[in-house]
Amino acid sequence: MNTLKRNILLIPGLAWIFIFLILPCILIISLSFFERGIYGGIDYNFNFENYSRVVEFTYLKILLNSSKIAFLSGFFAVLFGYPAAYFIYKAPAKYQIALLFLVMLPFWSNYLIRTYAWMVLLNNQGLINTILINLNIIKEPLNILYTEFSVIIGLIYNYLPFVILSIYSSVSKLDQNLIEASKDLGGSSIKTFFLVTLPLTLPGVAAGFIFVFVLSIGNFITPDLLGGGKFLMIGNLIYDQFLSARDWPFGASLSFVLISIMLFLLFLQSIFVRKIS
Amino acid sequence: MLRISNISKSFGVVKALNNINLEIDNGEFFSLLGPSGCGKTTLLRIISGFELPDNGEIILNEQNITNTKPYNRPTNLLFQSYALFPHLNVMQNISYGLQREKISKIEIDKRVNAIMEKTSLNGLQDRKPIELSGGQMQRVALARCLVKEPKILLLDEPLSALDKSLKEKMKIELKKIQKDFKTTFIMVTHDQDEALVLADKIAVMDNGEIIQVDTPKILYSSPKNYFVANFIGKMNFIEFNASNNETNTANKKLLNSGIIKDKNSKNILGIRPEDIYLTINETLNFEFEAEIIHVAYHGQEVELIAKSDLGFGEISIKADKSFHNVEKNSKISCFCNINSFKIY
Amino acid sequence: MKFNKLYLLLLFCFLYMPIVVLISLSFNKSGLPTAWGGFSFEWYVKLFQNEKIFKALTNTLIVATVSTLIASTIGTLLAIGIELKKVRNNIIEGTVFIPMIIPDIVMAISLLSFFTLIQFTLGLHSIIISHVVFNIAFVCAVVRTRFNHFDHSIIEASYDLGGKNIVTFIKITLPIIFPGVLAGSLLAFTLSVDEFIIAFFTAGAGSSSTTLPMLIYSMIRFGVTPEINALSTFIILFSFIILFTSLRLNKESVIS
Repeated sequence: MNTLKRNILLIPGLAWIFIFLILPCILIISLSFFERGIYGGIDYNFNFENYSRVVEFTYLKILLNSSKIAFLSGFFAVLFGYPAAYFIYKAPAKYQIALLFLVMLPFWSNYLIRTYAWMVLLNNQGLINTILINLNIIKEPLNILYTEFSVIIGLIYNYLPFVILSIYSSVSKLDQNLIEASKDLGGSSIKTFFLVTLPLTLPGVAAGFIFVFVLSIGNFITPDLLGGGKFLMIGNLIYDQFLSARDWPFGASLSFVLISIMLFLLFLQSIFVRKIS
Repeated sequence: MLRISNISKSFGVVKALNNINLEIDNGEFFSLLGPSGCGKTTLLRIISGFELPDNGEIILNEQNITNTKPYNRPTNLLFQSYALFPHLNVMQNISYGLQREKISKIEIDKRVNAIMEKTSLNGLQDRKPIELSGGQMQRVALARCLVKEPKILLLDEPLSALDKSLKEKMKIELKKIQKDFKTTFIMVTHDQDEALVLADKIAVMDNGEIIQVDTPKILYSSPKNYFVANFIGKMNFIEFNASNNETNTANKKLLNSGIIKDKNSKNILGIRPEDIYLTINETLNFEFEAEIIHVAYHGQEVELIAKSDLGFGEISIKADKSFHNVEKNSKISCFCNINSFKIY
Repeated sequence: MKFNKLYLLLLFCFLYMPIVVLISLSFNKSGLPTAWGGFSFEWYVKLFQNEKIFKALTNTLIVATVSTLIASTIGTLLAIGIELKKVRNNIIEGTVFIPMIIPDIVMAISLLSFFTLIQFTLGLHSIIISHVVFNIAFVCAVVRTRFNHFDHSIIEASYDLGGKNIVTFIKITLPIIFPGVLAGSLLAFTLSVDEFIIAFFTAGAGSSSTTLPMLIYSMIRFGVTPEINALSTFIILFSFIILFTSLRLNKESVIS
């Protein structure tokens, strides 16, 4: 097939993405340089006002808090996900696929429902508090729901399967000869793990971490439901600018900041991967 | 007759083929032989129509097919991976090509059955490619091409995917099928053994150029240059560099014997292991000494690795098995005819 | 080894506990997460009497089906177009990657602003258009993997045996990549059924184009009704069935 015919195949898909995603994004970026009209509309008055508002203390705090929550979610997802991936890899070969399947299965149910399930579990009268009180470990119910902690649990829960999968694919690609060579050369199992296995599986770890970070920092549902609708994260702030505060230009500038952070991280990751391979 | 004239092809800055000229007779089993990256596969793909040459022409039976699409060419290609259609069974794979022509169903069935008979594929018609062995897959691929009765069948490393014993069997089978069908076969290979056994004529390629085109026999007995000599069969090389050392006894010996005629030249001498004898007879008119370094046991025969007094480097000598316990470092006398030396 | 097993056991407890709790609560007569009031199908009966849910379900299925059909066609063509290119084009690769990574909330507000600017009436059709955007990207990714995992000389073999472009595409390329197209479509369908925030922003005012996730969100957000446990159980079962089907299809395609 010649080049022209090949390119015809690309047109519908690229056009759709361009018209219904790239153009709207460009629109949002340009909106971010205007200001909110008195009745909630847009005043086409070019300025950088919105961006100086982004770095105001109230909003900067939310931005940093979002980063913190996203970072902690990524960190703990990797911390708990790595042993899981490693142990699945160490399991007998015939069980590995089944175990991975079981890891991925919950992910296929609806995101809202999975998050709702944690609301039920972490509630003041929820299962976890009830058990703890009945076991006489605590007297008063713990306030877990609607805190940063519950948001982080929700994020880890939702993205852990991906982290495990990403690390597993890295671990399973590892050349077994390298590990045997290390043991043969006198490295203990623990030394071999830290000197050979871990460094060689870092790309999978990085991919998993970035994945969780990127999906968490822009998340809306989890902070909204498990965080009790407070402005915990930037996603909720953007939501509010569009639906309650009716300050679209400011919401637009927040979106632009969010996308920039994500692109920067993905860029870092691609450099990291290229360096390692 | 297939005439390839002035074919050149570049990929970016890499020159894959440089002014190739070849003539291949109808019914010939022709082989393109060369190391990987020599351009042989590119040439094959140009003949089959998957690549267009930058310049030059491909003429088949007086007809210019240089720009003819692969699906309109009277050539068929046997892919290295066989490229069987995984979702079609053997029968459907073989009839696929005929269904693309305007041929009645009865005629298709007749031809497909005939070809399956000839390639001993009977009974396998309902199998999917994944249920076939390597040899069977190759026969299906072959049948799929031959049923179209191509003017030329192109074979891309046809034996490389088979294990050693099957390879030997398929070699014989390929040759037999080619004789039966009287189709022109053009086979690309990097394995000189395959080319020597199968081909009527071999073109040795290197760096996008054709170095020598000859029958296997001539190619083996008179390789045109150092590259061909080195590539085809085993050959010992001895460097003669007069300017280096006038008084070198080894050099003197070669000069005195008349093997080297010009004492100022800089040459490489080549001699096949089997042309070096360890017992004298009247045809042998040159003698040299060698010190055994290693004895390699090959079963039927023994290969002696030795250092000769003719110059640097090790040489290989063929010997019968009575030599297999000859001592290391022992000296032996070697005899040969001065005409066995090739000079490059 | 014991530690390994214990760790994996705890992991699966963590992963499945919420789901198990939801499912068991759906049979709880009292409807409360705290007290077990006996086994009952009461909430399932209530669920089936709730017309709002059926309306939302219908809307969701319309959105998911139509957007999947459009996206699997366009996404497959896109995947083939990209893979047939001999040199990688970073602009195209990047464009196709964006819908997968852009935060839902950003995509949602961008589309809302865009539709508002061009004065496009919002409704099910605008949700469909929006869902097609990310579905194209996912279908394309799945089909590309499939396309990369077979020997491309098979396509050349078809040309060589006389199959022209269209014949080769219909008889050879499409059947070979079809399991990938199907798997991609199922993924797209699931994503579309699950998607909340973009639908929420592009559905427009009024409840006529409320989708199931939108309804679930409002049920969760504004007073928990016990019916939601029953609904969740249904959705979980439904998702798992789709997943099993898609795995089955992929497995069969590997064997044949």
